[in-house]
Amino acid sequence: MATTSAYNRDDRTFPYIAIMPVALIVLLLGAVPAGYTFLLSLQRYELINPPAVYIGMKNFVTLLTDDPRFVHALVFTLCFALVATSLELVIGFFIAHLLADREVSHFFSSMIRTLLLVPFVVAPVVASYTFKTLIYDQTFGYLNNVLKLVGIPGVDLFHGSIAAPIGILVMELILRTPFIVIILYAAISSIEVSIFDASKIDGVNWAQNIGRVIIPVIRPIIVIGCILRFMDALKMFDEIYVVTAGGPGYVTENLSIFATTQAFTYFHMGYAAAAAFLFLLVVVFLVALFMRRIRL
Amino acid sequence: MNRTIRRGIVVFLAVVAVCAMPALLFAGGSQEQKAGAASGANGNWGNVNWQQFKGKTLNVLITSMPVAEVYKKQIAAFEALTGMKVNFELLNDTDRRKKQIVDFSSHMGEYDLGNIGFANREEFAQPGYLADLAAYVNNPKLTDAAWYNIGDYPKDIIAAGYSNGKLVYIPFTAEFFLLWYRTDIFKQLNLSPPKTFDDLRATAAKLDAARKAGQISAYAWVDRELPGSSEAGWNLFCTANRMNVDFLNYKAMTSNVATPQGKSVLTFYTSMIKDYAPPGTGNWSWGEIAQAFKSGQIAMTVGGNASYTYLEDPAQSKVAGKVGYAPPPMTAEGRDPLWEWGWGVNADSKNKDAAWLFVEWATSPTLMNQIAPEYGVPARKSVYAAPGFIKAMPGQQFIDAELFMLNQGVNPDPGLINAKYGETADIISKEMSNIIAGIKNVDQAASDADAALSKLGYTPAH
Repeated sequence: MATTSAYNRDDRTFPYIAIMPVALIVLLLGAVPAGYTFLLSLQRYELINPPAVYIGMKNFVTLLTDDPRFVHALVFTLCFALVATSLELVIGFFIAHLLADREVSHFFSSMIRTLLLVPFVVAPVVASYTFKTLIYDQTFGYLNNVLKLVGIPGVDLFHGSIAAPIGILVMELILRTPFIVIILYAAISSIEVSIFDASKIDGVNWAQNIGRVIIPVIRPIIVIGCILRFMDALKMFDEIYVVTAGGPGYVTENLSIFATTQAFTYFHMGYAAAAAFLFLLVVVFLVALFMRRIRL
Repeated sequence: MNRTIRRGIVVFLAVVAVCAMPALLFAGGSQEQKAGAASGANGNWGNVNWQQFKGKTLNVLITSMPVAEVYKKQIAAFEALTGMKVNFELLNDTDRRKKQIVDFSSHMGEYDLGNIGFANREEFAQPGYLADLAAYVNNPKLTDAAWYNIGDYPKDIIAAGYSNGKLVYIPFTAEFFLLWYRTDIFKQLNLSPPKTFDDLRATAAKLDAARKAGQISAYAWVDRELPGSSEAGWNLFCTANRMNVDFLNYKAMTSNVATPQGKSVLTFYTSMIKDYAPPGTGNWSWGEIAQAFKSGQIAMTVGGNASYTYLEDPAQSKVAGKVGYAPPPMTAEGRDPLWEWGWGVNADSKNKDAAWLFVEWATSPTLMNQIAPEYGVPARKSVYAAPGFIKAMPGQQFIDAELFMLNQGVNPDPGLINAKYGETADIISKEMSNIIAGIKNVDQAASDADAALSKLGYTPAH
């Protein structure tokens, strides 16, 4: 019996042909390097002491059982990404909510949104040097000079083990929150005015308006913003590399810095590949978790 | 004018512009080449057939630094002299080193030659990535030995180009630390440049007291603090060598970090910073130190001799003409580990003979005499007596300090020159950073460094 379909054969194959170039690019730029990284991770490959030797899963076992530095970098990476993403979401949501408020003048809102785009047009490494030297530094920085003027002691990023992570976090919030603001502003602005009117008639207060009206409506956008920012925060490199180089000591060393140091300072390519592959697994697992949330 | 005519004019102008552009570019290139040819023809180039590899192309990779810019200006002259084409690629040092080692280790031979840093020499020499240049120096078809005069290199400077008896690079700079100090402040406080580490601390204490008393505004001292093998790690290891201490014995695989000598180095280095440096300098690298010194905020530090160009430029330095240079404080047996850049040839290059001609030209007495006044730290001894060089330097005191270091102040074979320097120095510098940040004391930091080093196979020496 002949099958029937609303689409003919050409219509059904066209989507596959259309996505083929992108699929090939993803394969070449994603799957192939990931596969090669896995192969490297099974070897003791010292760039300054070739050739590579197959050692099975030994690199993974060492990383997970005998390298407190890797474990610290993993924990720091996850904690930092969680804290940074959460704060960016909360702060970004409230700024977006304010900007989308119909009582705020369009000119003011649009000017702020334009200014918020500045971090996107500045290269991360440039922004990092700006923070390191012109803002945080006690000799050259503006922040500390202003603090001194009002009688507050300066901020020393390299004093103790708390200041440096906070300094990086503040920098990350300033540079990356605008992304959340922009997408959440677009989402909030797209909510039908009639929904707000209806909720006002029902007597909802400000908190209920946010919790029971806005957030449920824009939830998919929040989750997408959260995933994108979380992945970015996980693989942060430039900011830490420039401002603290992972220091003081190992305090701000995340997985990107750890893997890069292992590969290009220590030349342990196999070990670095194993660290990078574990990192990939963690990212894939967490992103899959978030993706499930989208469906809820 | 109707639309078709207007469109026709625009198309015509566009075609003319497109056709004219290559001609204009070519004309410019020709002029540059003529200038290069004229420059290349100047001077004595010895009895070598420079045109024997005419038509070949050389790929050269070099760290982006002032001396590289000086060389870049001379590439047209080399091309005119040899008839070869040179792709001269500049990259920041970190990326240069990564790109070079990936290319050399893959045996692709993409780069025929490049600059090799003394401290990273073994990363390239130990695996056999660099050609032995002695064969080229001794080949009369390629080198006019009398004109090239390799004996012009101070013995410690050329010795650093050898690895296991192989000449793996020919130096073009000779760099080391010098003590920089503010002559105006030292004169005001009646101080003289310190020669020993005790002197250094005592001088720093006097400067600090003067700052606290409001006599001067500059801080007494600063040194590199950003952790990393090529950041504070290098300064820390050099300080140790000037105290005649090696943190590690790479041959015996022993660590001296937690020995009394190792701890005394860590204590001295970190306490000088804690006591006398400006606040909040824990992530300072060379750039911040130079900027602070140039802006008059530091009275004394140790810095590379090549940096005089920045310090003495009135356009960017408030202290130009007020900087004194002296050999850095050292113990009787201590020496400063030499730092030099050399030209090395990729062992997998398909143009090794032609690459050697580039090295010979770049390190020749003729070219070095021409270009040394622009960078101030030539590797050849004879250049230091050349009138043009003397005139271009900040003063005879600077030249005397350089000659002292060249002849007796540097160690051409310090223990830290090892392929494993990067990893071990990174670990120790991170612990140094912990001390400065107040996270650990010296004992704890030294013990933790030893624990990390023991995983790499180093046995604590104590």
